[in-house]
Amino acid sequence: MTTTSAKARAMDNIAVGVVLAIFLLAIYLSFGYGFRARLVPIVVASFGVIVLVAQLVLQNLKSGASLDINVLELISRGAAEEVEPVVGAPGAKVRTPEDGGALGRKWVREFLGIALVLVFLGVFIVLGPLPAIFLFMATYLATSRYAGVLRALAYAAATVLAIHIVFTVWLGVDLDIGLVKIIPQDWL
Amino acid sequence: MLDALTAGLGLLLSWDVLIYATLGIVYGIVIGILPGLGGIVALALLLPFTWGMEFAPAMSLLLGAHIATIWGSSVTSILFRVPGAAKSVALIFDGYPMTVRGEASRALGASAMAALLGGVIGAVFLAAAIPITRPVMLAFGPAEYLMFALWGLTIIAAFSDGSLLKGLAAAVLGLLTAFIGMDIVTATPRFTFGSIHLMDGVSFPVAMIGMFAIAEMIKLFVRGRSLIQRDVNAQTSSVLDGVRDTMKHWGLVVRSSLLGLWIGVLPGIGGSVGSIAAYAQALRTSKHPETFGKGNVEGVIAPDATLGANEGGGLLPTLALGIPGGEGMALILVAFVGLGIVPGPTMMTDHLDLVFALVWIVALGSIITGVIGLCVSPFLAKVPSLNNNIIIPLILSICFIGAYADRGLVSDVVVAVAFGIIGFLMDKFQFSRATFVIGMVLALMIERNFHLSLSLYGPWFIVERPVALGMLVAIIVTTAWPFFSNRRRDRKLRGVVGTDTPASGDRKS
Repeated sequence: MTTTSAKARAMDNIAVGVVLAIFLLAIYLSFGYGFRARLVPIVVASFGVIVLVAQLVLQNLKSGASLDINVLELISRGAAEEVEPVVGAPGAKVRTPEDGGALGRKWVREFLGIALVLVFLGVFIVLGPLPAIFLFMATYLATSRYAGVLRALAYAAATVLAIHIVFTVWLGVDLDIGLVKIIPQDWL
Repeated sequence: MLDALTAGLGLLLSWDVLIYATLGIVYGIVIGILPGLGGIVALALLLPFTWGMEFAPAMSLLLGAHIATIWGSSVTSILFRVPGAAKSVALIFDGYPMTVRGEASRALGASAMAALLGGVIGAVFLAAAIPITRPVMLAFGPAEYLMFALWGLTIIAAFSDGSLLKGLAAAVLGLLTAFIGMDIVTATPRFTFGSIHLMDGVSFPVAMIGMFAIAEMIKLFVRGRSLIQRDVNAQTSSVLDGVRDTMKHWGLVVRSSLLGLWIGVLPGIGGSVGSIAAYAQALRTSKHPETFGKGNVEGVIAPDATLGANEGGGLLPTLALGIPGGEGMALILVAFVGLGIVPGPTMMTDHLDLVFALVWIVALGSIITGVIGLCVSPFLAKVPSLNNNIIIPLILSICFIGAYADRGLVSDVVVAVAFGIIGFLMDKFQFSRATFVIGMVLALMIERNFHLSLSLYGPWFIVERPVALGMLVAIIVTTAWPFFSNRRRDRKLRGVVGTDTPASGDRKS
């Protein structure tokens, strides 16, 4: 087993472990409810525990490929058998040492992707929807080199205007919120 | 029945329905053309807008957008060899070679016309199936509906990508998420951790926005491919050539549409399987199979007709049983609930006019999509590139505003972001999001029918209801069968490797 696939397997085990912990927590919490209220959640969560324990055992004892079930392939097996792929055939996934580097870069981008959304959420909560959208959009467009600073600002302003017309004017949604609004005006 | 058919049409005879349908369709085509954004993202973003709307305008907006995204994603496959959604992959095989040959207009024309005809055939089938399905649906009791819901979940889990066990776990996770909030049977707050915000449960539209739209934006960011380009060749044919091709191959259109209907009715299989199956049958029945993969228009007509008809088929289990065939229909189901309509057997008795209104909307949506598609195809054929960079900030902004506007709560934006991250991680570790969502949607039906079955037939209700027992056996068989089949295949492969090894050893010696 290569280091990369061992890492992927470890990550998979952690993911399954987290979901398993959620199911166990659900069972534990359900015991605090009345019989009728807990009946279905306990049955459902217990089934989930059984399924995930089986997954955890099988994914560590068997190859991932043998757990991946392609029902379409099973249905059309008669036709598929004629062109059964062979190891080393074109299209077969082969891990290369470079994959480790690509995997590392992917992790950074994944982290950045999640961080991007969280930062936008933070700005949204603090400044309120419209200023946050203006700031986020202008910054994103300028830094991604989709547009120059002036064009990015113009696109952001147009988006904010469109959102204001649709949500505030047409739908009557109050967008004048944000933590900044609760700061006393004489502090600013 | 005829009264309901005309009453359904009557609901659509207003300007606002036509305007909302057209708006939804234009929006759907744009979203569909943008790679990475499928019909689910389009529906998730529209859901908050439908709250408080009348049934007919809301459904024409949603179904119009849903139908149009399918054709929109075909456009990207044909022009750029990048599928707008997984279900449009089959369009690449012959659509893109036609584009390279300078026949993009013809391919788009054939695609739009096939989708139009497929959609209309789907609507006609749906209308014809309702009188047949109605008495059958009414004969079932809560025990059978419970089994239907469980069967739907397990089938969808089986058809999800990756491990079946993970698919089932995702369904369980979806069910448990839907249990958050006040229990409708006992009025007990469950899994709320004392939070008042969670008393009402997790808002479906907010969760859908996070699970699909925000998660897809994170995926798009991670993928990082922002610009898709192509060389624009001089056009050697027109959209009308494509329309003529489709009319000439009417038999293929009918066959593919019927295939799409059948696949739509079966839960979980979805359009991606349907379009590939349609392509395969077109190849098998064509007089020129040798030209497939090199730009045969039949390879464009068949998948698009199937995808067009698929929606009509998919609506049948959604309306009759309250069991969505896929995540798109799950979102339509969420919209029903938001509009105060509970799909299932009562839909067939109390709201038959609404059922037929939906049939008309599918037909109308397909026709408008086809007409708009034919009108814009000559212009689309000249589009040289698509840039994804504007999509991420724009869609994220709409997601955040949409989540907030649902109930006017900032906490809903936090919930949407949480679901976005969960959705992204689920996708990464191959826990099916479709199964999760369908689990969430079916949770109420499962719990209510379980309690009703216990009250009506006692704890051994499964044994007392032979149809429910038969369905339980079917659930066990259909869930276990892929495992056994896989095991048999593994053993066979090991046998092949075992017999091959000495042979290769012989060669060496």
